[in-house]
Amino acid sequence: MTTSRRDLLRFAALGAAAGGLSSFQPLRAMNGRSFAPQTNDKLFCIFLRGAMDPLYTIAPTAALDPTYANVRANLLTPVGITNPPIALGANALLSDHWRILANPQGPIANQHARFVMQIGNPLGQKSHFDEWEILERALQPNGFGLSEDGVFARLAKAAGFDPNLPMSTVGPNLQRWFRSPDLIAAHVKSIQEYHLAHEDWLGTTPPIQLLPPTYDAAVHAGMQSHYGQAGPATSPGKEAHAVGKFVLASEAIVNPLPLVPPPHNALQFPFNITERNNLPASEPELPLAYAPGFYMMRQCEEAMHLLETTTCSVVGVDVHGWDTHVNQATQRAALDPWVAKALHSLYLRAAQLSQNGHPTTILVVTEFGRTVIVNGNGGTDHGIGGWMGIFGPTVAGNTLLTHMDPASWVQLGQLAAGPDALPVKTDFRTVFREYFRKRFALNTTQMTAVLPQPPLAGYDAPLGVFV
Amino acid sequence: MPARTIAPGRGACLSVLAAGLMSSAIAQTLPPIVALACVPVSHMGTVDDPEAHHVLNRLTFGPTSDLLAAVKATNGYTQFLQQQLAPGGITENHQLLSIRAQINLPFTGIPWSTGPLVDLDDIRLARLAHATLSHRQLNEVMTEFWENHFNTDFHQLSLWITQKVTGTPPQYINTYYPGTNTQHVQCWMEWTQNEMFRTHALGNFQTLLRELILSPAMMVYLNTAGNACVTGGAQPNENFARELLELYTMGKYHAVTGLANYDQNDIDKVAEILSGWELAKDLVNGYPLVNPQEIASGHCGGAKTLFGGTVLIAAGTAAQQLDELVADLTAHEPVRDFLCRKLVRQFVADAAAVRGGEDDLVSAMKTTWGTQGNLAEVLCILCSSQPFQAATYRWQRVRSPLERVTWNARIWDSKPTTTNNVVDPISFQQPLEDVADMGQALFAYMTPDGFPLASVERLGSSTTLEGVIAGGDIYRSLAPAIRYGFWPWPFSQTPEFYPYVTSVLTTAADQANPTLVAHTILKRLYATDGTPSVDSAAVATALGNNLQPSDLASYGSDLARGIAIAFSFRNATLK
Repeated sequence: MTTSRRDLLRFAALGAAAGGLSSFQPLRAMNGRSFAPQTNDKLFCIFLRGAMDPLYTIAPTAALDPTYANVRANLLTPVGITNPPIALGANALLSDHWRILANPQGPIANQHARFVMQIGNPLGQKSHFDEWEILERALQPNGFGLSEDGVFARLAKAAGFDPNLPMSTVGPNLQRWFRSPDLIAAHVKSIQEYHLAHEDWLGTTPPIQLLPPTYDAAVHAGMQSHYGQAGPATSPGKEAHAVGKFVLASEAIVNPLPLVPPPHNALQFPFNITERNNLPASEPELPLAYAPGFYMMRQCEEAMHLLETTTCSVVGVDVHGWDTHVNQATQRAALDPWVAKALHSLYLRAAQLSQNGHPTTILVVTEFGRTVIVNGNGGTDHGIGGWMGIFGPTVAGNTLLTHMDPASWVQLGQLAAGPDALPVKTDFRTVFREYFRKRFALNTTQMTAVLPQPPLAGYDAPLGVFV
Repeated sequence: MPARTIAPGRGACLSVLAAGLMSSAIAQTLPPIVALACVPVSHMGTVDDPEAHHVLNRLTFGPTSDLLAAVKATNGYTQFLQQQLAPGGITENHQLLSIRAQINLPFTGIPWSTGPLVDLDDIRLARLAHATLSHRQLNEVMTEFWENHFNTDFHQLSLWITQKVTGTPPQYINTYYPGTNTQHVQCWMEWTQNEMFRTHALGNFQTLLRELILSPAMMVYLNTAGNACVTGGAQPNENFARELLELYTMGKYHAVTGLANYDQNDIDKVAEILSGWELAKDLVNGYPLVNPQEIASGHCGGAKTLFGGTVLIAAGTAAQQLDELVADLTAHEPVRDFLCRKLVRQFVADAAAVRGGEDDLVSAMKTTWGTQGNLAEVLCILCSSQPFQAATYRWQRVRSPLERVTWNARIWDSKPTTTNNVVDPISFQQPLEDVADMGQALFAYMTPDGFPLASVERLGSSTTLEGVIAGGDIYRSLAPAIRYGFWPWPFSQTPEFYPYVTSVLTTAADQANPTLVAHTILKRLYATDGTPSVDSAAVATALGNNLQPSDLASYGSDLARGIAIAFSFRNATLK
């Protein structure tokens, strides 16, 4: 007899139930509190490690800011495009990636998208830790932490999430947001039991039979080629299934998906989903950017599935590859399509989840902006003013350019000779506090427990992001 | 509170430990045999099982039966620490040497263009094999510590290499070295850096830091290669300068004062100091290497003032300013504080490393650090201190996935499969996959902060789930260790992982006793079966009443259930 990995898990769960493991007692039994959540809301958080450069995400046109176009022309010229004015209009996340911009069932068409520009820590020094340690550990100005709980762990306690499955995260960086010594035991138990109940979803026999065999095989072959590994039981094999399922299952929701062709197809990335019957057989040109995209899609599928099928209220994924010091143009050209696909699919599923009684928000955050001018070896360095994207039926209308009027764009060219970084106009805590207050109904006391430090005065103007 | 002895005696020199036979294959990479000024405090009293587990959990990648017995002998702990702090005197495991030879490490003797190619799985296997098999365990623990501290990502090296291409096919750098495979070059970069860490793991930090800055993997990963100071134009790339200060040497805030250790001006100046380097194509002894080379025209050579005027760097060439920066950083107080606290976190506990934790120990380590960063001396102070030995800090550190896998292999005295006395690398395939599934992609962790060191950051949902699954893999393969004669695979199949282990239950009656089996498993893993988090009764219940020697199938299911339960205890993730 051969015992499989899944068999072991099943046996483990049965044994755990029979044995009554003391270490797996849920918090309810530990402290006697009631854990009825204050709302039915759910949050999907995507953390892009590094900076999704706002000046590359929503790029000004050359007509609006010719100085800026000259300063960043080499960054803004993607593969196959040499005309800077075209590049400036084409190579940004929103303008090129039609799934977000043009899809009639997408977030923008439904007035469910908000983009906050020039957001960050007004006192930041362009460090990875400027913003996120404040969220994670409630860092004081002197650098000492106020809490061992991460911000979402504090939210879970304040908002009364179900301790049996309070939250979940995929990826090492965002784990800091969910960390809590008190919640580990319940977390471990819940995640085990969840996977036991849904063990097929990441297995070799996906329950959603949407993958054309040729597509599945091509994705799988590409994964094997990239990783140099083979076999359906390997991690790449699992990722291939998850990637295909994530994208295609989402598109099936709006079947038939209006396959609007992109305005041009100059960008090179591994698998063009719109051409699923004509997949490239060779390894992509940019293996650097190949893994993060796939990794991101697998993570999104895993996390969204948790959100859809359990009492889990908050999930998060973190995706590396955004600290693009060198070769920003090529790296973004490979990464942006994956973000567009992820946002498109997540929005469709969030909308359906909302219709089922769980208003769902997708929050995309990055760490900082990037400098305006190009540095000594052809990239950009850490800036200050960043970008945040918020999607879902909980979002009030579309605002593409918060604080970014034409006057601001004109100033960008001047920044090349000056402070060299887009300034912060909104403290990042403003959005988090608005969300926690509006959607999770935190009162003042609870808010202080979750975010002990308020936004800096002068950078806390209400944005009205959420309905 | 009574005063505690933190620092062991200093001033005396240990006699140089007798050097054992060393393989010529790795002799050039061995650390020098050092004479320690620090004499570890003789351990007082008997080392019992829990303490021996603790010592070996921290100083090695996991206890083995032999090491447990050695440490428990009279003065065994002190002797073991002395030996491990002088790794050059320890004869290396011949099985490890066999694996290195099979993989053609460390890339000697065969030019890239014609030699056997090395791929990512090869160097991952080598890294796991060193951790599992090396007799120089403390040196390997520190090698892993520096590898993670100065993390680089294999995948992010390829673009730089590919950019050298002008011909086709694009995956070869034909312009410089016809026929050279990109992944092979990536492996060379990563593995030579790993060997550098192995060489200097217990040497001095100043040398290690300089070698690190000019290691091809780091130069490419954080953009020192090609970084230029363009007069009247672009400023140098700040990527490495920022991480050098923030992650590698001092951290943003001082752990005691809470003051910022540096500001943006310091980053700008350090970036200028580190400008003017390129990885140049070169032929060295017939090998096509990429070596660091100064580009005078790209260096900002003026004098600089750093850290509020406390450090002055004189005008000079790129190499001169680099040497000065490295020397000044090594002796800088915030650097000593930051790195000594990180070592305390690694070897003692997270709580011991923060302000107000074990500040006296940190202070003693900082003094011993000196101006060059005497790592063996600092570790001698640390690992023979009372905080290191304190029972309150046992089972407080969360293992990394690599540590979990190696611990499981070593705790059961596992041996890799051999054919005609040659180690079969297949033994490491399943463990390697388990490490990756738990979220630690060796040589491919993307961000420069490396796999999290803080315990609470190592526990996430996906890591937890995969840890349990990996535990199932490991214990399915280790079933023969529990019960003599048990064999979970058809004999025609290739065993997946370490099948040849010593059985600990040798009679049918013992094997059929769930309580005894549970006790044996847990005692072996944790040196105890009676703590609140290690409950042998739960495992015994899971094992059930079907432990009949004649019923292998049933026994297999029950055993699998029981061992998976045992591995699900929280202590399975802790050390």
